[in-house]
Amino acid sequence: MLELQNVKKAYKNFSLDCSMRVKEGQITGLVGQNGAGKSTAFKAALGLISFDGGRITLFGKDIKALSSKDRARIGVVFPDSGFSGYLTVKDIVPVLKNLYSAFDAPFLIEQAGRFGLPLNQQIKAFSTGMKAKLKVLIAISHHANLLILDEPTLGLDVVARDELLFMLREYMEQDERRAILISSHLSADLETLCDDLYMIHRGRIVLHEDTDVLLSDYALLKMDRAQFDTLDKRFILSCKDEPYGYSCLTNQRQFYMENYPQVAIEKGSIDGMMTMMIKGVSA
Amino acid sequence: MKGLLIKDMRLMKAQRNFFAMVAILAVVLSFSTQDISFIVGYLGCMMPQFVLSTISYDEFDNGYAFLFTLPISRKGYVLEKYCFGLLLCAASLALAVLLSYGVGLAKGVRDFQSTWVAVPIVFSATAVLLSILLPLHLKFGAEKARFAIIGVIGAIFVLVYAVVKIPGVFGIDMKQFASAIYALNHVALTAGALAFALCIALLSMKISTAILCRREF
Repeated sequence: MLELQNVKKAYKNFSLDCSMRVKEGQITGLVGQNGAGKSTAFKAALGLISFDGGRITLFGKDIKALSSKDRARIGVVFPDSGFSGYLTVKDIVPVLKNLYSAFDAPFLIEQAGRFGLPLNQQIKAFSTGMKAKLKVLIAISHHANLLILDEPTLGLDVVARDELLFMLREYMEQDERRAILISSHLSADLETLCDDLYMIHRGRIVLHEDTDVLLSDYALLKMDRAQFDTLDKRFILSCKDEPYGYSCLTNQRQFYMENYPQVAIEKGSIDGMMTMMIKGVSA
Repeated sequence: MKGLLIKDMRLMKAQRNFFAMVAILAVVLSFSTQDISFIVGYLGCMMPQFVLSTISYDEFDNGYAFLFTLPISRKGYVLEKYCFGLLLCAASLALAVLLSYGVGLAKGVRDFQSTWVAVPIVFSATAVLLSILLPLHLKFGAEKARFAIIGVIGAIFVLVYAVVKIPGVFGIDMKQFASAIYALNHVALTAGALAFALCIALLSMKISTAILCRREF
């Protein structure tokens, strides 16, 4: 559905060189530190910035050849951008009605009521959670085939985050041909939501794996220096010096469980993996 | 484009008090002048500010990034701003004519020819002013555009000075030229002003589109 092939973008202090793919029927996550290049990749995918090399295709078309009709099949959420805060939900309804042929006004109004979003209040007076919910509602209210969500849960409390993730699950359940590309710095959101995950660091994709595999096969090994010296390092992706010895990231948890019972093995978590991929070195 | 027009009209709603204040001020000031067509000129001059304010609203809080993910092209966005300017200008001049008649009748004026003469001239002048300001706002943003506008006004002043003075060096009498323009038929003068405004607006729209297509959000 969306593919970035060796997309390059150079700034003065940062460069992006990224390849990734979002498949139909899947939720793909993009994780990385602040400034890792998540938003730059999203903006390139949406044609908001030019890129120096590579190719981006959306719905099988080159991004530069996208028509307004194609754009109407995308729903987008940015953490720091949206409709003017001086508008109300009631103002936005006729705007969207005239921009999207598939816009479902009753759905937006009904969902706004369900999530306690006032129709006649200016958006600037909404709380962070209300603004985030409205952005997602707008993105899904015109039956988009692809959602591109950059940090949609930013600044939300646990309850608001759960409600928002629930909305996304409902959206996916309605049509199996839909897809979502989502970024978040909160790995817990992505662990439960995504089918596959890309990890980006300093503008480069450093890891891509199915979430199930990440959570079942990846693990963090903790050991002292003597254990590290005798360890089979064929399946070690990266290691990090620790006060107690070493921590190592592996994608063959079972192998180390069977062969190194004395080594402490922690089940894979996205946070742990991200720390290891960023701060660790290859064994 | 209709969706964007609705958005801008809804944004204007947020400024309705300011707009009402401008209209009231125009009426109050027109009582202190002899010429009732003053209202037309005053409201016409104020209009570009309202159009430009919608760009500021769009730009505020990185709003462009979201706007250009909607099913609109950058060319479509530019076209909408010019159309919105045209509509707003026409609406405010219609209001100005109504107010002018109201004030005129209250002052016992029976001849409203000056109002009708002013309408197309003010419309053309407003269109030209907007055609200069819109690309500047799209290029520099609301804040930086203020400095750019000072530069443009300076450049226009130098240009007008040059147009008036340089022909004199070559022995061309500009007063005679001006008299010839004044002597033109009123209809021809109006048509010329409107045609000139249209040409400037089309050129400005092309420049604005090129500016916006190059911008990154």
